[in-house]
Formats: sequence, C-alpha cells, structure tokens
Amino acid sequence: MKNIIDYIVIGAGASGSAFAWKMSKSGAKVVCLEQGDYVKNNQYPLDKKNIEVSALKDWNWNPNIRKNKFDYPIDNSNSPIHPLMYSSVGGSTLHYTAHTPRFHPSDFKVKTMDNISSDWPISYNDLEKFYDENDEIMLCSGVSGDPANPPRPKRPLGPIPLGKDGEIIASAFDKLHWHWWPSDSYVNSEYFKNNWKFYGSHALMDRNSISSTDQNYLKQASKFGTKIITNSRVSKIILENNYKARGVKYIKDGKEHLIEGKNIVLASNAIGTPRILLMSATNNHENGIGNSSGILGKNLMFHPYSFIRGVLPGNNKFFYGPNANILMSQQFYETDQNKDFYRGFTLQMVRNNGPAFTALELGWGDNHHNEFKRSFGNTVGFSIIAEDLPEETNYISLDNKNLDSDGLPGISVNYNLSTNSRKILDFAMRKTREVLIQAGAEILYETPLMRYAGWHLMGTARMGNDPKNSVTNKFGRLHDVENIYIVDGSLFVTSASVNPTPTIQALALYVAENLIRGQS
Amino acid sequence: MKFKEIFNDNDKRIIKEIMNIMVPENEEIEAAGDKGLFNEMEKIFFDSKVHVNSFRRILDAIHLNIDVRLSGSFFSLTKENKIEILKNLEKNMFDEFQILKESIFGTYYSDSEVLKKIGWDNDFINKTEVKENVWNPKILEKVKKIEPFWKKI
Repeated sequence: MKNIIDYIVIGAGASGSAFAWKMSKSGAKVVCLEQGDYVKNNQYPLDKKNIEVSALKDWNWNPNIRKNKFDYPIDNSNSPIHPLMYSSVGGSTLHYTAHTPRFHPSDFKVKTMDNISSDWPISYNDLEKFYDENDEIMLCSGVSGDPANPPRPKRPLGPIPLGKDGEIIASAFDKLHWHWWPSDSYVNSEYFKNNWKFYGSHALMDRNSISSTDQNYLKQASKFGTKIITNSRVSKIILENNYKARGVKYIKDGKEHLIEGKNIVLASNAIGTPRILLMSATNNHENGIGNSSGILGKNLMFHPYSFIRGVLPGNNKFFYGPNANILMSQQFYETDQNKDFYRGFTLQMVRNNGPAFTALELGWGDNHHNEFKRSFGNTVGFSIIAEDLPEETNYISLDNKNLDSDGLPGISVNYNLSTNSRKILDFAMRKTREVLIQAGAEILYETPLMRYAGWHLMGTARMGNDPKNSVTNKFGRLHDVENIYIVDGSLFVTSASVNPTPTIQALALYVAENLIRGQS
Repeated sequence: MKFKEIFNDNDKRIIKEIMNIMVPENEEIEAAGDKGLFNEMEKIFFDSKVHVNSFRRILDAIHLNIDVRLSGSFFSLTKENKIEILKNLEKNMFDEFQILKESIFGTYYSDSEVLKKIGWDNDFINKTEVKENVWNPKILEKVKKIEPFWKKI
C-alpha cells in the first residue's frame, strides 16, 4: 500500500531507535529496517571465563574479524584507526561501555570560539532538553554538579561507586588540583548495589546492568506501532523524482524487496549512512544522493585514542565494578592559547581487564610472566580521547572489490591522523603520566595511538546552513532531497572529545521533534 | 575450514615454537606450545578464516625470511634470531601479528590450569565484593570547590 508508512528508518541502533520511539509515540507509522538481528540474552556470553575469547571472536568490535553475515567489509589499509561497530536491533548499544558524557556548549561553536573548522548550525541549547529526555529513557547514572559542564537535572539514577581504584585516582586528581568527576553512564547503578563484582572485559557486561536501545526505546516504540524488519540490508534509496524519495530497496534472505514511504530516515552510523547514499547514485545524482556539495563521505572523524596503564604497588584485585564507567577528567578540554594545538581531550579511567586482555597489553617473551604477575589486578588505566577536527582528506568511499554477503560494495577508509590530533595526544600522555605517578604507579604501559579504537564514527554527512559545504540542513534533512533525513553521527560538524552516543541520540530526538512540529 | 588442511606438520611445529617463545615456561607451568595448547587454539580460533589466514601470512613471511632461508629452517636459528624475526613481524605485519597474539594469549589464559594458578576461578570471578559497593559523597568535597569553568557561548 503506497505511502502508508510515514517514516522508513534505516538502522535500529542508538539513533534509529530513539527516532522511531519519538515518531511512533506521536502517532506516525514507522518501519525500521535493520541489517542485523535481535540478540537474546542467552546469545550473549554469560560465562565470564569465556568472555574474553568471545570478545576476540564472535563479539569482536571489528566487523572485519567478526565477519557476521550482516557485516560489510571495511578496507582499513589506508587508516591507522580501524572503524568498529555492531549491527543488531539495538546496534552498538549492545556492545558499548555506555560512558555517556555530553558535548560542551563550546563544542558546537569552535569556529566562533577558536577560529577553526566550522560551527554547528545548532547549539547546546537546541539539544539540551533532548539530552535530558534521552538520559531519562536510557536511565543515566551519575551525579549533578560537575564544574566542567553546564548544570543538568538530577540524574535518573545515583552514581556508581568509584571502587578503591577509583578513589585512589580521584585523590591523585585532587592533589594535582585538576578536575575530575564521576562519569555519567547508561550503566544501572541500582543493579550494582547488590552485584559489585567483575563485569568482564570489552564491554561485555551483564545485560541487566546496562541500558541499550532495544530495551529502553524499541520495546516501547513497538507498543506505539513501530515495526522492525530484521536481517534486511538496504541496497538503494529509490527516488520518485530528482528531489523526492519514493522508498528503499532492501535485501532479505537473498531476495530484493521494495518498501515505499513518505520519508526516509538514515540511522546507520557515519559509515553505513554515506554508504547507502553513495550506493543510491542515479543519473542525476551520479555521485550519490545528497552529494551535490561533493562532501558526502568526507570529513570522517574518529576520536584518536592514546592509552596508558599504570601498575600500582601491592596485590590489589582491582577487578570489581564496570570496566570503564568510573570517572573522567576534563581539565584540558578547551583550547588553551598557550599550547600549540587547538581544542583538547578527556581522560577516562579504565579498570583492570581479565587475564587475556591484561596479557595483550604486556610484552610477550621471557619477561611475560613477571609482567603479568605484577600487573594482573593491580593496574589503573586511562583512555585519552582527543578531539578530532574535520578534514575533507579523511573520507570513506565505496569499495567495489570487497563485497558484502549480499554482493553490495564494502567501504574503503582513507584517514590520516592530523598534526593537531597528534599534538593533543602527546600533551595528554604527559599529563596522564603525571596523574598515574601521583597515584603511585610504578610501571607504565603506553600506547601512543590505539589502532582498534574507531568506536566513534562522525562527520561524513555534516549538517549546515550552506548547501555548498554541508549535506543536510539544521533539521537533518538533505539539502538535495526533500524527504530524506539523517539522524546519526554523520551529522556531526565537529567531534568534541567525549563519547558521542548521547549527542547522537539527542540529535535523533531533536530531528524527530522538529518533524512533529512541522519544522524540517 | 580445518586447521589440518591448511598447515603442514612443519607449519605446526613453527607455530608451537612461536607459542613457546611468546609464553615461555614459568616455575609451575610449561610453555604454551609444550603444554599442548596448540590443539586448544585450533578448537577455539581456527574455525575463523580471518585467524587462519593471519597465521598463514605470518608463516609465509617466516618461510621467506632471509635468515630462515640461509640457515635452512626456522629451527636452525638461535632463540635471539627467532625473537628478532617475530619482533619484525610484529612491527611490519601488525594486524596479522595481533591476531596471532590474541589467539595465543586467548588460548593460554583460557586453560584451566593457568586460570587456577592465577586465581581466576569461578569462585573469584563470580564473587560479590560488599565493602566497595557504596557511593561515598565525601569523595567530591575537594573537586566541588572548583568553580564552574565550562565556556559559555
């Protein structure tokens, strides 16, 4: 039945779920196409002894290693950082640390503040109420009052205890007179009250302890009428005319289907979304739909990560509690005119892993056992997350040599770490050493650039007011086609230096609400 | 894809030797290769084409190594030479070597004898620690004194 569907949402992950929930709640008819499947609790690795092997294979963050049927190949040979993602109902929220800080107001206005890059066409104020709404639905744990961030309402759930290791680090920050604050997270602090134990490496935590959009958004969205079609990979957006889409073609069980709807909403992450638009090229959109500016797929941003782990003296057994949602420091978040780089970074404390991942951070060979004995359970680590600025020379393109299981093109990533990002990381590593030494660390293990750390995919279909240098308008609608919207991290103009999930979800809710109000 | 179909006996010997070098014996446990973990690694990781292919490329690089060719085999080299070759592979074939490392450590640290020795048994990993699970608001006393410093715009 033609045009009975109001919104065809492509992707049922962090952003597509939030969008589907809000639109279906308003009475719109929504269908979500998801290339992955539902993941039941019993499909998750439950035996903690096997968690690490699972994280190295079937639950590897890297689609090139996991190679599930719903993954598409990504050629990383021209990138020092490899993109990571998970396709399923719930998307990457089924396999994330759920560390959920917000962008700062300055992050939306780096051109105005620092005369670099571009401003977003929207501000923190435009997103603030959607951050709040999302935090309520995703059940944010945390504590208000962070001096590095604008005030925000009381967190829906209380903070997660820091643990002994977290308290040692907090004390080190205090001695240095540096900012730190307990991390906002979508990990359920109530659950932890009676379950303070080892929660596993690589974000493979107990499903009951963490929020994900299959549970927190889509269950309710389904009650409002959202229909989710799984194992369905979109191959092409079909246009009715040059300026209007008619529907999408998707492949399910090897057969191609056409679904028609009034609006198309892309929520497939900053690699999957431009991939679909590029695959949808027509004679009149020969470089892909929405690409009259020529920048679709360009300005790819990751968050470049460094990592330092310090070994504390003693036999500590610092395993208890969530792996990464402990505390963060934004002491060096903003541009400082006295430094030789723009923007800054966030430090995020990371707890001990299980044995295999502990070993992988150490050397191999004759000294391995000594290093392991010294490190296992005795470390505190810091992920250093740097702001990445957009550059058109960092881009994704279709890779017609490597095809997915349905014969569609894979993706080639072309990315170089900028001089600015390297300078941020080098400075940040020096400051991280200071904290760890202040905390008593005796040995440091350092990774100057984490290769398998492309969790945060951003910027490949940026929003803006000028169609010449942006892909969508400030409401997420393509400049070139009147009824195609983007609601994921592709929209980001700049990247900030925090995990992007709450901002991605707030953007999805913002786009949805404006559509409900008739603004697009 | 079966391991036996991919690697010949010489390849397997080289992999066991690499396992021994990367995870040598300690006072209580044999080295990873001598301990027979090669078969475990096959069960855990070699149903994955990515893993098999990575090992294949590493082995091919070893076979082509000039020192290996001059001396006739990997086993003719001194331990120091072998370590040097592995370190070069780690540097020049990072992705493949990472998978090799993950497979070896993933297997070694799944072995029940190893886990028992390091105290990583079910009793420990499922234990609930009750002393640490309380939020202590006093911890914020100092940092709360910092004036808000986010930039308004």
